[in-house]
Amino acid sequence: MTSYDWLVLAASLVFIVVYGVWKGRRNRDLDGYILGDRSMRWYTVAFSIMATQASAITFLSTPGQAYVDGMRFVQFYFGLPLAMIVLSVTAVPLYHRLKVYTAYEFLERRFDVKVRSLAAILFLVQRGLACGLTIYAPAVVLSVLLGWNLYVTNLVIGALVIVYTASGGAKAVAHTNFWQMVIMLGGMLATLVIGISLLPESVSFTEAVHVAGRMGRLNAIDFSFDPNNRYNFWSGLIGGFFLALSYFGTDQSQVGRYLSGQSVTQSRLGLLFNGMVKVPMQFVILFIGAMVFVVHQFHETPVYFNPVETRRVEASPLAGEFRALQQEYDALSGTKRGEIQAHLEARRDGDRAAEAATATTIASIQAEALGVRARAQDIVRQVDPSSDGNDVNYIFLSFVLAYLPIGVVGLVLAMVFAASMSSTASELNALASTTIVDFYKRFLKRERSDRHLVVVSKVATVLWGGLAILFAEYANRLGSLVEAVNVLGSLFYGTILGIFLLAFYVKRIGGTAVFLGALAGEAAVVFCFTATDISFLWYNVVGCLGTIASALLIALPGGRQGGADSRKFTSSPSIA
Amino acid sequence: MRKSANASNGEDPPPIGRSWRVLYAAVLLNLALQVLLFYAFTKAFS
Repeated sequence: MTSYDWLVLAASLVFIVVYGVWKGRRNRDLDGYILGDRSMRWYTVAFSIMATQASAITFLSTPGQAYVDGMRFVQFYFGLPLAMIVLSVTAVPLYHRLKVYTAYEFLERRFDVKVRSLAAILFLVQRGLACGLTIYAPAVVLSVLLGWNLYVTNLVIGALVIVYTASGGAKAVAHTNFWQMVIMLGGMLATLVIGISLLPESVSFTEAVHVAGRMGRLNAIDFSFDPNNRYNFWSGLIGGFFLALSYFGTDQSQVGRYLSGQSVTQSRLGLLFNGMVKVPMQFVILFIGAMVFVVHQFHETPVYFNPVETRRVEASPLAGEFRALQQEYDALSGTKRGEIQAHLEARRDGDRAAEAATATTIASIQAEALGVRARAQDIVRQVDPSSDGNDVNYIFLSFVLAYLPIGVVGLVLAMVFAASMSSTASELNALASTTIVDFYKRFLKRERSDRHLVVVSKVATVLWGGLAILFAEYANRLGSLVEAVNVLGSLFYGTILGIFLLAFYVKRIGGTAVFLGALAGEAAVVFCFTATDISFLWYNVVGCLGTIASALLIALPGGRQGGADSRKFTSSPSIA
Repeated sequence: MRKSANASNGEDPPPIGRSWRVLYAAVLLNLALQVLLFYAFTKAFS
């Protein structure tokens, strides 16, 4: 990394922190600190929602996912636009009308305090852990590839976020999210354009796309229905819908973003904009991964992308075997390169027979190369049994450091930091809001001044930030980080969503039935996680339907009702 | 008629499109188009 890269990175970080502190300097009451005085325009809401969801994991892991598995991960997001519509119709007007600070506050008005507390606790547990991962993910990759100290990197990312989030609250989060998203989009586009320019002169962009497709990296859509297949159209549309509905409708880190909108209209527009652009954005990130894969077909690549683990193997008795695998991999890559050139020439000449023959050869060499890579990963695991041998998270940044020009490397690193900080800031703000509004203010100090509540909210932000850093220091061996975060979320989201759907749509049900139903739903999810091979996206469906079905069954015998004014708090959608 | 229904719910009409229903339909249409394009993309390059 050159001094120009350091300059770009440092300038971005200083700008974000100073801008955040400055924008959030006037917070006199809880409304200002937690919801930014409900003053945001739709584009700030939209970018804030997007920046919150797009963590560093999105940019580090997703291109690597496309590199090893193709673009089918894009299907994971197909349920998101549907969820944006449902939330715009139901949750947004309801939350605005009730003027709640947190989504869980609504549950007490609708049911009772135990349902509110259960949902808030589920949120605090899963988001508190996920927040640590949000910091850890970029820190571990940066420390491995750049030789930075992991603990110091965790600390720096966490501390920078704590400074402006604790001091400025929701205003600081929303306004910095906007610029962080701009940095992310800039870094992404620069990587795509420069990545394409790295192709050999004899290979056009269309040919590069053709190669990626031929080698199975452009498998964006798979309509086959298989519950054990993690990413297909149906799991993405149905499972992804439930996950998005739960994440955006009940997770305070997102609810807080659109509740900061100045009206129902501004909040809705922010959500709908996200529904329009999220899928294409993920497509572009995955496409970058596919292009990185193609560029690597024309250059020497390591058989294993994690340099720290590679060095560990090279210092072990298995070093000779590992080096032999690297040589075998290089030889296969060389042969494959020649075959790809021959394939493209046959394609230019319109020689269908030669095109098909070379395609078959490429596929067989590719299968052999994958076998060599798998054997190298086995060696990594033998040398270090604590390693999972997964190098997906290192592929993209290895490419950036090896091939991108001076200055752009700094921009991409700024993008990774911006992504990590934007998600972490929203999470800390939400964790502090929930702690203060749903527990501190609710149970301990009901009648305290706004000034006092702002001060304790700042303290809560710092404490949650400290906990997240602490968890980040211990997070390890989680495989693909993007999947780890989504698996963790899926363990709780379905149950929380079930509670909220009952609150929105079922008028004749009381708090006890919902509380017991939620416990049963969560037990069903834990059973699926520990005793079955069902893809994690389906946990959301199981948790949600399990909660709803159990609550309805429990409510049936006594014909329990939701109270005289339950209709005030259920959704009567007006979508005209 | 629609406007008054919206107003009675304390909601404003969207700044673009005739109604929220139209805007929601646009988001759905956008998703359907994306799925179709990705399908064509997958088929064309596989």
